[in-house]
Amino acid sequence: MKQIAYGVFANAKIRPAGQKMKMQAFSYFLLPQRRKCFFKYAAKWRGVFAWVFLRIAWGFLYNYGKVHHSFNAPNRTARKIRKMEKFSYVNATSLEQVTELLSDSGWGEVMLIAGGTDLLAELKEYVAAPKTLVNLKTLPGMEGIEADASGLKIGALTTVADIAKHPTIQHHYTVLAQAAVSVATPQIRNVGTLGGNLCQRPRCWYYRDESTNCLKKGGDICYAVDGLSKYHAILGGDPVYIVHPSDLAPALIALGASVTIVGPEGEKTMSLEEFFTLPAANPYRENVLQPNEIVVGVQVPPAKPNTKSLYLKAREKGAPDFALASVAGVFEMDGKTCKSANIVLGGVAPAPWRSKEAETALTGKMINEMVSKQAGADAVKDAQPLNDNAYKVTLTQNLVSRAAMMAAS
Amino acid sequence: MASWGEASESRLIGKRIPRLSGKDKVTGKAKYTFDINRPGLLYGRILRSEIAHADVVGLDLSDAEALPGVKAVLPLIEVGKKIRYQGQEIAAVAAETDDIAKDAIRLIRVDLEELPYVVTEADAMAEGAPQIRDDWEANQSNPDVREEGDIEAGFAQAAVEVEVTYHAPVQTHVCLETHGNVAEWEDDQHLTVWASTQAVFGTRRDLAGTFNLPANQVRVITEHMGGGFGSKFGPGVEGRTAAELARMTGRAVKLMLTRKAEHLVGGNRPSMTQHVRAGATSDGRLIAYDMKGHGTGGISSGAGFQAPYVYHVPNRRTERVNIAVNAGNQRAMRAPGHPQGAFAMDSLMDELAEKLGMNPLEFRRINDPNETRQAQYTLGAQEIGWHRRNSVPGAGNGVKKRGMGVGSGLWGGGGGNNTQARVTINSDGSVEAVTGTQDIGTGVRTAIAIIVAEELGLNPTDIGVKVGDSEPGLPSGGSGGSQTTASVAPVIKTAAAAAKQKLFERIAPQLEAPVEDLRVGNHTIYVVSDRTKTIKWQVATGLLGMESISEGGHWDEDLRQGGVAGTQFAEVEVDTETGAVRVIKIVAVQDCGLAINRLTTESQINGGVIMGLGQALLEERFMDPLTGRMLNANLEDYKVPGTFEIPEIKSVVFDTHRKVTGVGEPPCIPTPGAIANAVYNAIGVRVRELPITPDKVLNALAEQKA
Repeated sequence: MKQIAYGVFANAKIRPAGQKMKMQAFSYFLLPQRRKCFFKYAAKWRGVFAWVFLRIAWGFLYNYGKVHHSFNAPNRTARKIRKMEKFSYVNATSLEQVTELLSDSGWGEVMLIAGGTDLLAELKEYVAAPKTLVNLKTLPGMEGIEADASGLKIGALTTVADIAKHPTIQHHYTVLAQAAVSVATPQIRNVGTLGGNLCQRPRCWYYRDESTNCLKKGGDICYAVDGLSKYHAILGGDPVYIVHPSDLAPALIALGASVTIVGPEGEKTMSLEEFFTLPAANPYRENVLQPNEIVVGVQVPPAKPNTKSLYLKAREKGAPDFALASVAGVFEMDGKTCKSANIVLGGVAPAPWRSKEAETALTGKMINEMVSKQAGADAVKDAQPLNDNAYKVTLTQNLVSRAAMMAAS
Repeated sequence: MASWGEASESRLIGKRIPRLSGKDKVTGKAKYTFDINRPGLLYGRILRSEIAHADVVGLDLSDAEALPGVKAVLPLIEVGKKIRYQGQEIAAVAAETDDIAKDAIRLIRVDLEELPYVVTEADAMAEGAPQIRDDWEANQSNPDVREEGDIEAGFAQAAVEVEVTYHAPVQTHVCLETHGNVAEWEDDQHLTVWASTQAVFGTRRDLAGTFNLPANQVRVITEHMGGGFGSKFGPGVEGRTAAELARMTGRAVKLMLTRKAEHLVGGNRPSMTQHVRAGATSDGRLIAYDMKGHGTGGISSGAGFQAPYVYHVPNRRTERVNIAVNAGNQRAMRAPGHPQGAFAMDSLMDELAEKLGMNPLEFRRINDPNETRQAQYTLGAQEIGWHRRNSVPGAGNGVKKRGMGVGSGLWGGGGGNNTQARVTINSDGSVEAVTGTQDIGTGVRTAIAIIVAEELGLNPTDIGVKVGDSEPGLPSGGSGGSQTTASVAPVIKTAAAAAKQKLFERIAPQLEAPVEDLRVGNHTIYVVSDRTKTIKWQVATGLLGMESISEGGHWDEDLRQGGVAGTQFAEVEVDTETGAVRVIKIVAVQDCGLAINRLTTESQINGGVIMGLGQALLEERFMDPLTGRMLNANLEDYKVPGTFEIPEIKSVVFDTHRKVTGVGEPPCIPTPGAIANAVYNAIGVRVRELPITPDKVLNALAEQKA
């Protein structure tokens, strides 16, 4: 039972008697609500489900095995941080230089800083400990918004405040302006950047606690499963139940945005929706970015005529507060009829959560209370709440319905 | 008999006067403890346990001591002792910079053998829970049982009954300026400490005892203070540590708590859970009350709360136990025991009233023995527009629903005989008022200036007020229990009156009038029987020449009185789809005797309401059973009201008598109950747990539907 702790209280947790921590993979079926859900589902789909389950289980174990051997689990080193190590600080001059600096190491050795509103907190709380910090603010040409007939181009260094107050964004990409103005406080919006907002790390209180070596940081379990989970994921969580904190990401995905990434092999562009990943694919990161890659900008296709877009964000406190749940909706309307809808949820899943179910429920329909309610219900029909966050199911459902009704009004 | 005179005679007292330190505070000129920098200052930091319960089996400070820039390392726990909560002090360092100090504490090696812990009340009370206190079996104190009347007979008379459970979680003080001190030794016998404290002389006494010094060789200074709310009555471990580090190094040491430590060890308001059964007669009289409750005040403190509260119940039985958990101890927090008790009682009152089919205000009028509050009910109901209230709770089809509620409170605030003060008139006409009290943000500095200026016919800005320093050797009590003004004001007034008397005696021959005929007003001394005989203040004091006048005062009991009543009305809007509660308006009617300064009194009431709103809607300490740690020891997830939460507040200073009574604490008491009742009135479903956050509202609405 001996534990050696330095000023850093390493996570050598020893369970008190009678409070044995369950391995998460096994605990899945120990929770009655999940067991019930599982059997209900299993009865309906039988063989298909069995195959899917085995496939997922195999995939999970396969990936899990890989994790221990070759995955870059950046913060595995974090628990060894004793004092704040000196780091070198480089003012970036070109993207080539940045990717070169990045390519020397895996995650966490060389880190990028722009506004710093997220990273500095991680440094101060010893969650991150880079050897080199690369200041992106000195990079030319990565800041600014271009709005024309071909759509929007927003550089990664553009501040959240600039996005919030841009007249074209306010008028034609309203969902994005509304999402931007809902971020944090004026001080943070003034320095926080688009790139940083998309790549920010989770706010999870276990992740942010230096002494807790959770699964996201290379440990064995996601503490939210058996711990306190009021602010955690109801969708797509397994095995890490963080929620993605970005407000801009759901709005941009709903607008059909793509993201441009620069790496050693040059530039590539992909849909922003595919940029974000779920923990089942990689429990340690929230997106596909490789350690030697950098987000340089986002493109948004031109707004279709007769489009209504909006961002609804539910939170406990006016500001600053992260979303309990949010809905980014872009609706192509013909009167009260919804020709197409893009609905992306924030604050409820480890990645911005595109709700195809809600979109299907609305597409081609005359929006009324019944239709909007159905869309809300469909959006959360796969939700798997933890101990403390069942309210998020209702909340998300209601927000989706509200967004639809607002689109038709 | 001394008196404050009639309102019509007062030139300054009872008027709205901006606080004297206001400009200094908004421009940053005012220096708080955090702002004190001394020559050669070192920075102190404390290593705290992240483990909730453990035996200390080894402590090695050598790596920290070896770090360049580290000047002293001080163990704060011995091998063989126990860690009993997260945040408990292990060792401290003093270093040339704060960054070095931060690094140094991380080089301290401590070997721990972890012990089973409990951090939630449920875990502490569970069968087979590890016992964390030797003296409390099953982690519970002996029940405190009180009985009055005959509850069985009471329930037999009851026409309606309610049996429910109310809960309020642990709340922390969130002092914007965290606890801390700057300590400096002049030589090995003289210590000066700049302290963020509510008790300059209490802190001096503690430090003098700790270092075995005569009290007159310790000086404590608190010029401005960034919030205490009951949690800052002594130097604490961090203050004694700062002084010891300063002694070890021979240099000044600044040691302020981090925000995290502030949450963990800076004190908290204990939780409250009460299971209550109560009955009322068909004519609306509370007749029986049976309450079994518990709360936790941390590892070794009690968790008292008021039950029943304010309203009279003839037959009652109450049983309270304290629960020990591995967490930092509670400290007095603004009206200890009252807000949580008031929340439960006022919720219960509404639940009984509804069963009786009575208007909750009517039900209160029947059961509230306090005449002041009876009058306040009428005034408050008018101010909020009680007639607009939802007559059927939850009625209406809209998504956003509005409702109104009422809550009540009481407090003492009569002050005590603990203050020495001097008022000095210099020959240049300047005036000084000196006492060892402290202005913890309540405005007592301005109140003192007002009292002296009123007495001497001057303006408040003419008075040099010196408070927050033990050096002049004029002790005063700690600022707690809403006692400061009622303790200090009578002494200041009598001192000013004595100084005035001395000046009159000196001037009377000059004006060829008897001393009793002299009056002072508007910088002029005049003869009341012959108004042509006057002398300017400056000229009069000039006659003092090389002399000056300096008089002490005494605590005249006739100038103060204890006991205040308050009631608040809340109007809220609840979004039934998101569960968000928005407070639209609070009417706070607060009795406070004689308000020396009506403006700062209103400020006190506003602040109390905002704090009560935080308790009602936002604040909760989350203790994690898996790790034994507080998960929201920050200001991101421990949420306090911001500008968006603050509603229209109508603070009504309710004049009752012309004697000084403190009002620092009572305005935070009725708020949670009033808001909880307003939420019920809006949505027709009751949330019996604080804070009333969207999850609880949505869950309650869902249960109602089901």
